[in-house]
Amino acid sequence: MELIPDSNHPFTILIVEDDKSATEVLKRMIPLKFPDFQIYVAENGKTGVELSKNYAPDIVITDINMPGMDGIRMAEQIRTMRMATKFIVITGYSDKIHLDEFSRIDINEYILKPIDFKRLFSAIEKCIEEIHIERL
Amino acid sequence: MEPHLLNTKDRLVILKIVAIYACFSSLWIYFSDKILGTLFIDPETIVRISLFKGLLFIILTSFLLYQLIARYIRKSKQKDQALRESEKRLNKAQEIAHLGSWELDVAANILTWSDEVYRIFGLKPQEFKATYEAFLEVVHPEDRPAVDAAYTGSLREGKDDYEIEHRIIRKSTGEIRYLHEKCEHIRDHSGKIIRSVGMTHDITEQKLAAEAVLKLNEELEVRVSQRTNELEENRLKLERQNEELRETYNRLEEETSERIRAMGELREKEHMMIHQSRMAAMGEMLGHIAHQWRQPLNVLGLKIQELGLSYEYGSFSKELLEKNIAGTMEILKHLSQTIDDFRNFSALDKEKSLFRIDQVVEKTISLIKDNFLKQGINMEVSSSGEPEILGYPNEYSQVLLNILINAMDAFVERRIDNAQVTVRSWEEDGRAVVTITDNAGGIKDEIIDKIFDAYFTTKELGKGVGVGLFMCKNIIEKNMGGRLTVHNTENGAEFRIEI
Repeated sequence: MELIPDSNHPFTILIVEDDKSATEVLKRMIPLKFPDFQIYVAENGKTGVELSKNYAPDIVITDINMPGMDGIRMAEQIRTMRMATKFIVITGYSDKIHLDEFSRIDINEYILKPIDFKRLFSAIEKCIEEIHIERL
Repeated sequence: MEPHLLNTKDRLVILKIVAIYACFSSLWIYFSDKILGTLFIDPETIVRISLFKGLLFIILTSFLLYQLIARYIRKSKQKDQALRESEKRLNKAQEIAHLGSWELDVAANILTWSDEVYRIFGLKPQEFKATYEAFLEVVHPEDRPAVDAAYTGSLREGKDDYEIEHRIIRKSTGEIRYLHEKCEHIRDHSGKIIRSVGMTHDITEQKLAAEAVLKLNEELEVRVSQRTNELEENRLKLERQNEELRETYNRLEEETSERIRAMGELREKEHMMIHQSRMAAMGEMLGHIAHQWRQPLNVLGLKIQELGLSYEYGSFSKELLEKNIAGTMEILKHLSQTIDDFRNFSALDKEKSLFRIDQVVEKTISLIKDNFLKQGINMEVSSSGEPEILGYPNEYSQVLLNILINAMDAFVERRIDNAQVTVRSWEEDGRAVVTITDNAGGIKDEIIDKIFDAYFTTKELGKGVGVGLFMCKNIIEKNMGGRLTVHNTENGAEFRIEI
């Protein structure tokens, strides 16, 4: 699937992850594939909500387990502010309980840890495609 | 005895009187005539004087005879007196002894009883003339033939004596008395029995006493036999009790062996539980390792993929390569460390050892701290002093871990904000105390007494079998002689371990 570049509408991505080593790599890697995207990083759910207020990210890539506010509750709050936000959930869990929790909020993609970049990139591309369709 | 005949002694006395009289008369005649012949010659004077002489002779001999006879009678009276007194004494002695005497003059058929015989027969002394028939009449009718046979038999068979015991019935009162009769026959020179002398002894008192003794003896015998029976009964009872005791003992022994068997089973079950709880704890640990590994594995993956991607997009550099290798190695070391921690935790304590509580607390918390923080649970650890105990450090660590993970589960389940777990350790009265306090809302009153029971769990199926806290209690109280308790605080639960 080809991405249609649109310089007028640069996409904004918010990465919420409490593991600094992981965010560092992600911050370096995503621009390699998506060079014109605006990328923000939050260390926890609370900061994630704050940043969403200011930057209204198109796509939120979030971890589930985080100190303070966890990924699910953060997603709920961001959804109430901006319905169109796409969520890519990165989780270490593969059990049913957490999948059920995900279904409470309408998440778009979930990726199991350890993150495979090919999967992450295609998830981002899927979200962009949906955004395009919604914007038409 | 012939009381009216003169005996030799009496005769001699009379002869003596006659002899004195004869001598005196002879001398008188001879000398008075001679003196007269010399004094007087005249026959007429002599005849006249002879008359006076004759009168004087009569007066003198009368006086002499009087004196002699009076003297004899006086003597005789004195003898009688002595005899009477002797008889009186004998009589009294007989009375005292209840021993009477009798005598039968066989030829004249005259029977004489002493006073005491009369008294023994219930008669007034010398009330009537004694006869053999009167005697037989007093004898108890049942004894009469035997008594008669004894007397007449002894006569017939020519025995010298006989004795018999028999009863009499007192005429006056009808009272029955027991007598002992003894008799001796006296014979003349030709061997013919002339007299029988006997004694009658009232032995009623002795007899009654003997009978009483006999009766007492019999009673005693009865009592002895009763007592013997009682003793025998007691012995049998004791034997029965002994038997029962033996049975009880056997039963007890059976029960004991049953109990020992049950205890063995219990121990086996306990072992199984320990094993289960260890497996559960290890499962928990594995869960935590999974958590702890997921993150670094993720980073590891990212760092490796970054190398490939940067090469692909032309931004690969030596610097990036070195940086990622160093980062990767660091992560690998961390993973290796967690493996060691896990292995240490899962190793069984073989022997008790002296360890510091605060160190075990710290080590245990290091295993799970990341996970707690990740779940948004704040941990606060404080310790004062260096409390040391003798016990099993890994088991102690298992207890801490179990309580901490329960707290974490409660936080996650109840979605508590500002979740906080505080672990404090200190020394109190020579005991090492650790408290684990959370603010997860506490334990419901209706189950707080059951949480240490085996197979009690509040967790969903597949999330716990309910041996965790049971084992914790076992480890602390049985294995290490301490105490594990729980109580609710204002907004949570507090577990307290004292050893």
